[in-house]
Amino acid sequence: MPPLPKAAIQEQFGTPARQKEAATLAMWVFLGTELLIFSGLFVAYGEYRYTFPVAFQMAGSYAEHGLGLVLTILLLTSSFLATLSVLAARQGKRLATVGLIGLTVALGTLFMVLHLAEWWHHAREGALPGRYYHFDKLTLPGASLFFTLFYLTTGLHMLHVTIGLALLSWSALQALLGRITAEYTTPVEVTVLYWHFVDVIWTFIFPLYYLLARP
Amino acid sequence: MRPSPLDEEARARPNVELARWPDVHYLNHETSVRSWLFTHDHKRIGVMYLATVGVFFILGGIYALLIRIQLLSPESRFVSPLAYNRLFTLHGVTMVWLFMIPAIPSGLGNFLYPLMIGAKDVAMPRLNLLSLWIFWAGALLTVIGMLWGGADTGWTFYTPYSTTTSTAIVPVLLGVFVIGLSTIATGLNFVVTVHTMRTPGLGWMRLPLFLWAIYGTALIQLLATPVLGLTVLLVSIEHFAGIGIFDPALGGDPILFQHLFWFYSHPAVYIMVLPAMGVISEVVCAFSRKNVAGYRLIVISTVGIAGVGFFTWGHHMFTSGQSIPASGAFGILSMFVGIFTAIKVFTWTYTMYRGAISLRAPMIYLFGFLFLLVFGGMTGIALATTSLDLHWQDTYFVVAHFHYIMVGSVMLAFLAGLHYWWPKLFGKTYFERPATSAAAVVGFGFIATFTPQFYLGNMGMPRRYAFYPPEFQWLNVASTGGATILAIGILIATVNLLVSLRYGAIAGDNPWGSGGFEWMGTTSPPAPHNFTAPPQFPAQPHDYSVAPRRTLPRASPP
Repeated sequence: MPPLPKAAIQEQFGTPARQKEAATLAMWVFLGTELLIFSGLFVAYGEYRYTFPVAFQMAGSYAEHGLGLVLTILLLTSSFLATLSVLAARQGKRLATVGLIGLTVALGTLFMVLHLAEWWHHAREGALPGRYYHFDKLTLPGASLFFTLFYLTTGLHMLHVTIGLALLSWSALQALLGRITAEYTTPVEVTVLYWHFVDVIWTFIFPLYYLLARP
Repeated sequence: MRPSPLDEEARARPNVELARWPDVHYLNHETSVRSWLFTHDHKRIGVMYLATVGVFFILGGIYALLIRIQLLSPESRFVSPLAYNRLFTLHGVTMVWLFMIPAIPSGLGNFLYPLMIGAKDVAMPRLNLLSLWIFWAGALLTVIGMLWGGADTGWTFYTPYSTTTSTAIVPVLLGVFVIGLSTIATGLNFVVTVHTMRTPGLGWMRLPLFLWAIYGTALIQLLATPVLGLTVLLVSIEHFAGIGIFDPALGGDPILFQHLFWFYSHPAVYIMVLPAMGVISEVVCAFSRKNVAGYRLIVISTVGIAGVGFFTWGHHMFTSGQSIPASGAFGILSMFVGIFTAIKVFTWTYTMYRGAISLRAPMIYLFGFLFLLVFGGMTGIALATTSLDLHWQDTYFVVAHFHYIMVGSVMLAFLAGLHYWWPKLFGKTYFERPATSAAAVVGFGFIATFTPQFYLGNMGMPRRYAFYPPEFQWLNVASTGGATILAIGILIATVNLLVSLRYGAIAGDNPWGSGGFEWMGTTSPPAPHNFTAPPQFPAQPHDYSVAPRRTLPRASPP
């Protein structure tokens, strides 16, 4: 058996298996805290949709349904590729690991570009948050709140996508430098866990903000 | 040091040895400033946390004294009303976020819990250091933001006032956000460490109760703090850019802020109180020389408080237009906390029953703690009763209640723990007689400060006003007098502890003869990596059927 990389066993742990268990648990617990961050915004969405049902439905009909679907497919596919990269890493296939993570990063970046273009489109129409709102097709009270929450929620999500992309690139680099072996895959596994979380949050954002009212 | 009767008694017993001073320990194996700032050692990080929260505790106390000076007379011009608003905001923010939340979990907890589970360090030492740095950054941001911009909203940042006030509130909010990140990092480390780093054979039902308390705290830190982070960010953005999320003019709902804020800030009370209860569970065992009467009961009530604490936030909002069924439900759920707390109080009291109690300083603090917890808790039950709360809402009754239950119990338990673990932290014993006097003075001073405030609140004096009608004056003067006594007590305790660092007797590995796991298998102060071999812990913590070896303090070389 080849020697483990230096990072695989730190001083305070008894065994590498223990260390991996700790890293995985830490990421799961951390994702729990992340879920609670988003939950505040989902609660706000619930309250304001209950307060302004018509305005929210109308605002939802101006959402980019088609683009939303494309974004969803991009993220779900990237998550699938990320899972494959973990399998490749566990089998010690270095180039396949790097390639699959690279594809994941590419799809994630495309997601970001399209999503920002959608923001730009909304902003040009005047569908801006709060006191900057001047979208003349929809002047119902409460409509500005839909867009406030849209920017806040998708903005926070985009921040997570960006962090996820940075982490993925870092773990691809680790794999490329040969620091990921079949016995030590923790950085890839933990990063991919985070990426799945980003994906799962999106599967809640998509129906709440894009599928509210089909035209 | 003059030997106390207890020492004489101990001398006659076997199992006693003269204290020794380890040649190499975590304090002296490296001494440069750099070795402290970049350390991964949980003990050094704990000590740095303790030093930081100690400074903020003194600062918060000074702000409190300034408030009390202003309230000495009905229309005092000691500070302007705006300065008064800033002052109580400063006091609240400092005490809540910079002292009470980090004091026991991040300070004492960081130092002790790897020792209690027989680990060399926490699971993620670098994250631990990062959490300290983040805490410093957040504290700096908060304090500079407060002194420069002077937020005047109170520590609760209620909208719409906080989103419209002309004072600079954003730096403070961001500071609180950053401190929240540090709390999350600490909580994450606790949970992962307790799950994965226990020494082989140390099962969950053998864990010291302090660990259970810290574990419950960590769960709250992890699940509640993110919501606070989000909420203060939203308030910052609203204040800065007017996005309308809490602004009624744009359709937003200011009450939503209260829900989100108290979803964090009520569980945050248990972030402060649960560790205090954990300290008390250890102290009561060590100084009664018995294991706690109902180990499982304490565990269940700890987890119970952590759990039910998430479903009580609405009791802050009985007068905010909340529906009557919701208020009723929140009121009843709040009372469950009283039941769990009462279980603990009875268990501690029964632990003392027929125990070999020694009246050292930590035990005196414990008595003060029990008094404050019981009376603070009972007034809490009264406040959770909707019909009564309608009259007491925003009066000094509430102020007195939460100072009793939250501030008093945390302060006394923190001081109890600090005295109890001082020999483990620094290898020196404090001077017993000034310490016990200080404990009595602190307890009496605290009660004397806040008992008049119960009466003031019941008479209808509202909180957060710089002026008040003249008939309230004598009770306010009494309260200020109590605060002065309290300050003197804390001064004595602080000076005693600091002087003992240099002149105190060498404590030895286990000066109390304590059966707590943290006293076994390590020297005082502990070695850089805690244990040379995996420690052999007894079946239960605080098992005194076989007396643990006790070290006899001896005068330190000049």
